[in-house]
Formats: sequence, C-alpha cells, structure tokens
Amino acid sequence: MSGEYSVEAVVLESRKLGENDRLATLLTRRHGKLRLVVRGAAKPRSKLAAVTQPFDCVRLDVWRGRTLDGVKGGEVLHSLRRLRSEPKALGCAYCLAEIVSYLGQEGEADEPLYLLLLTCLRALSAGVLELLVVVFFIIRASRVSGFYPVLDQCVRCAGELEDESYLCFGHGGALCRLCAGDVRGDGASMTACERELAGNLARVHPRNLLEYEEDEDRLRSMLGLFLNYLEYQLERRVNSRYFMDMLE
Amino acid sequence: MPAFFAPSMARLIEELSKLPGIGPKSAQRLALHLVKGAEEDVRSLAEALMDAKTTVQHCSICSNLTDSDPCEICGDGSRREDLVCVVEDPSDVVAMERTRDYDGLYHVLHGLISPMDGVGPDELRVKNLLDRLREDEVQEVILATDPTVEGEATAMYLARLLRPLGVKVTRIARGLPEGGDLDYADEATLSRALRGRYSVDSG
Ligand SMILES: [Zn+2]
Ligand SMILES: [Zn+2]
Repeated sequence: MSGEYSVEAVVLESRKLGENDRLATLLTRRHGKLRLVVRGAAKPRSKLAAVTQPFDCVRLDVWRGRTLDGVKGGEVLHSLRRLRSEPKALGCAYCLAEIVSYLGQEGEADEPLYLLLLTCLRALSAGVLELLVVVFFIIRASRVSGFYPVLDQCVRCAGELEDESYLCFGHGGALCRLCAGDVRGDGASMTACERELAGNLARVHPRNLLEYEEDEDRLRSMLGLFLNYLEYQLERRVNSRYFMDMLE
Repeated sequence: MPAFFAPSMARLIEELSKLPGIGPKSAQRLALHLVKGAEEDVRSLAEALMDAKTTVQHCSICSNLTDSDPCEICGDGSRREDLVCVVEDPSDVVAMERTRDYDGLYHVLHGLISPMDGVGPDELRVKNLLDRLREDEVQEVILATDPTVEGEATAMYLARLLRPLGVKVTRIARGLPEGGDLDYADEATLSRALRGRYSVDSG
C-alpha cells in the first residue's frame, strides 16, 4: 500500500528518537495501537510536535514509510492540556496510557478501549476525583479486555459469597470461605462492600462519575487491589503506579 | 553488510553505528572518511576520545561533567550561590550559559523521570540536590527541565520534594513552546523564559 492515510487517536507517549525526532505511540480509533515518527519534533515551535502531545485526542495525516509511518500534519480534536500541568491528574494519565499501551494491539481495532480511554482522560481533565477515574478505568478496561473478575458468586463452586471473600487472581474471581481454604496463590481478601463498589463501577455511566460519591480510602485500597489483579493478568508491572503515588 | 568489508573496517563500522543518531549508512561513510584521512588526524581523534573518557567526571557539587572537581562554574566565586538552576543534561547548561543572562549555579539531573519506563527519581541525581539544599545557602531553585511532558512531570515531582526544605521553587516560564528540547531554544527565548519564571507553590 502506498500513499497517505488519516487516523483519529489518543497520544499515549512521545519519546526522543535520535537528535531531532520523536516517536509517538498512539491508540487509534480504528487501527489499534500505532507508532509514528514525528520529524523535527524536538525543535521549538514544531507544528508536528504540537499535534502529538501526550494525552491529547488528535486527528493525524500519516505518510507511509518502509518500517515506520510518520506524521505529516494534523489537528488537536480535544486538548487535554490540563493533564500535563496538574500533578495528580498527570500521574493518573500516565497510568492509564501505560495500561492502554499494554492492552492495545498494533493493527487490531479496539474502539471500546479507545472510547474508554478518551472518556477517562476527559473526566480527569474535567476535574473528576482522580482515584475514582483510575479505579473506574481499570474495572472497565478489564471488562473490555475480557478479564473482569467474577464477583457475584464463588468463581469455583458458584456458591453464595459472605461478607469476606478472597479475590483469587489465578481463578479470575472471588472465592467463598470454603473454597479459599485450600487455594494458595496470588490474591487478596475482598469484602462485600468492595465487591459492591466494583459492581457499581462496572455499570455506572461515565457521565455520572462527576456526582459519584465514594470514600477515598476505600478507593485507594480498591486501586491497589485492581492494579495487582491487572498486573497478574497482563503478566507485567505497571511502572507508572509508583509515580502516581509520588504525586498523591 | 559488513561481510563485504575487511574485518578491521567492519569492526570500525560496527563500533561507530553504536553511537546515537548514527545509522549503518552514516557509520560506513564515517569509517571510510577516517581510513582515507591522515594518520595524524585519526591519532588525534583517538587520543581525544580516550582523554575525555579518562578525565571527564561528575562535579561533586552540581553533577555537571567536568575535568576538574569542583567544576569551573561551581568554583567561580563571582556567581550567585543562592540560586540553583536544575536542568536535564549538560547541553542545557551550555544553552543557559549562552544566554549570558544567568549568573547562578546549576544542578544537572542527567535524565528526566519517565514513569512508563520505571525511571524514577532514584535513577536521577536528585539525592545530592537535596543534600546540597540542606547544607548550602540556596534561596531559590529554578526548575528548567524541557517543556515536554516528562520535563513537566520531573518539575512537578521536584517541586513537591523541595517544598518542605523551605527554599523558593520556581519554574521557567511557559513562553517555551510545548514539546521541544530546551537546548534548541534560541538565546532570546530562553532569556525570556528565565526572566518570566514563576513561583510553584501548589500542586
Ligand atoms: Zn466456593
Ligand atoms: Zn559544579
């Protein structure tokens, strides 16, 4: 294939490439993850750098290259500049972008993931409680990607769960006390309250996040739990979680 | 590709292509240029490489690269010792010096925080910055990292870290276009950014 094409995308990261260029990683709406060369982006007032700023939603014209394609021009559709200047929001945006860079596949369209990312970045930019957005994002991303844990009954015996249960990462769900008794491995205890919160966030419409009230300590412990769960499923660490903690 | 070259040439090309920004084509061109040139020139280059490698060290105060410790800037008694400008790498010191508008001291981080790669403050020269601020008479720290997202992230993190030490923390002005490298900015722009620095106290 030759010639040019155009994509709608969220910029996940932009890193130095040689002296003058940068390499942008994007999640596109229709083509999955995409890496593009941004020529001359290190220079001040680069028009191409301006349309490939991390966390912005952009439309790009792309030229085809032999190994990598590159940005020819474009425009910013939603500038999420606030995310780059508010410490808490920035930490969370990094975390979302990193998770998406692991979930997204090159050449495989994943519009639900794209829309989820854009929604969450816009919520962060609009000032929704950062912890809430990240927990919401991880729960919804695990749904979109097919590893949301079974939380409404015991994943092993289908029995009813009591107040205390054990979220077993390997089983991909909560275990009742009886089943948890002889299971060893990665996981953590999960109360009925926490299971209910996860269930609510799995269903809530994003537009209602702004009015959603939740205890910050509970959100923080949910975040730790779900990040550990996600890392187990992805079989890799989410590096930026530590940066997010630093800016708390 | 190197199979068509004599082994010694192939080795030279391979070594050159390990350098940043040098692809196989450029490495080949450089190698050919070197062996065609005068022996004296090549010897001088080889000596300069070894000399720099063995002499250059990190200044024990500001972490900039230097031949003597402390470096020329830290050892220059005529500069303001109450002002420290924090930059990413030695080339940013050169850019700031070119403005002739800054007469304080520096601190070179040798990198920026890169959250997604797990490059945190422990990988940068942050600890000796803190030690320095605790001991010395520094009144103001100017955060002059690149106006890129990593540069902002690093500046935000440092601002939080420095706040309890009671020094004034400022950030160079946003006049710099977002996304560029500091050492590319021209002197006038950089001077303006420096003069228009603003206090970072929240966030
Ligand atoms: Zn059971
Ligand atoms: Zn020095």
